[in-house]
Amino acid sequence: MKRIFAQNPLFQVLFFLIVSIVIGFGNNWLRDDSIPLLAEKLTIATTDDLLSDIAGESVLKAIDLEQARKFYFEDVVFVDARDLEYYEEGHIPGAWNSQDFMELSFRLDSHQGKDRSIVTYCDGDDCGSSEDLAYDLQGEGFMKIFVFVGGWSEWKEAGYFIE
Amino acid sequence: MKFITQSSIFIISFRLIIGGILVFASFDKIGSPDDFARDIANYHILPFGTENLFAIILPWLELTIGLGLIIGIFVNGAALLSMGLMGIFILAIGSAILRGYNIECGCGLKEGEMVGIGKIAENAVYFAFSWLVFKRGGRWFEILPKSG
Repeated sequence: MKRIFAQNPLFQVLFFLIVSIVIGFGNNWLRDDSIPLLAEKLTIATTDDLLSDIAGESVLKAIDLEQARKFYFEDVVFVDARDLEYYEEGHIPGAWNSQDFMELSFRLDSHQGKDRSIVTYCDGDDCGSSEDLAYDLQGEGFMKIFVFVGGWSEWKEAGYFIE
Repeated sequence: MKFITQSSIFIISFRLIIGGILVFASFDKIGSPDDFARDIANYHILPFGTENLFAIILPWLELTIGLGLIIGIFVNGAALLSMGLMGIFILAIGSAILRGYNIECGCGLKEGEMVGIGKIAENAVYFAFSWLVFKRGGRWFEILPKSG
């Protein structure tokens, strides 16, 4: 009886699923860099986040168009996380390109150290590369990173300067 | 009529190929679940937040069914799940292409691989291999269950 049960493909599927769920949750619970069971959206930066130029602890927040514009006029470095071809078609004036991550990281560090603000953006709400880049920069030790969620689409639609 | 692809040498090769790929693909994802969760989120298929659950479980599913295929434990179930995974990957990549997303596939095989027709074809081949393993006519080097 037990043997017939084990020969049933559906039982086998269930076996793999249960083993994976148990090990997956167990591993996530035990590891130092565990992730929450449900992802959380980036929170919008507060005025304090925007005003303080030197960060005491790592900050990774989202900013809207108005906050991005404010940063732009304060000469904060913008990094375009889109592919080079899109960057070359048009980008926020002065924005850096992110094709070679290690080179970008080195340039940013040489330019302003790791404590000053950086803004990342990609195409708009639907893209994820600006957030990916922000997390990668945070992993490299950059302390204050803001993701301009509306990105290139919102900036262009607002009629701001483009390059 | 028995096709050459149903011979023991082919079936064992298919098991090792798919199993090896699944095990290899799982390593990167198990090592960086946060990166994998963001790769999943970029597809915009799952309800927001649930990508983490998939990022926690899916790599271990790949690892266990990969090992099952290689070692020969519950090969039918592993082949069925492999077909299911490949089918889901094909649909996810296809929908990303149709919606014009130029995103990393998050496949775990090579850093920076983007979605594209090539990835769909690759997964279709793995799907076919898994199906051939599921439909195999005999049991070769299988540990569990003990008899066919």
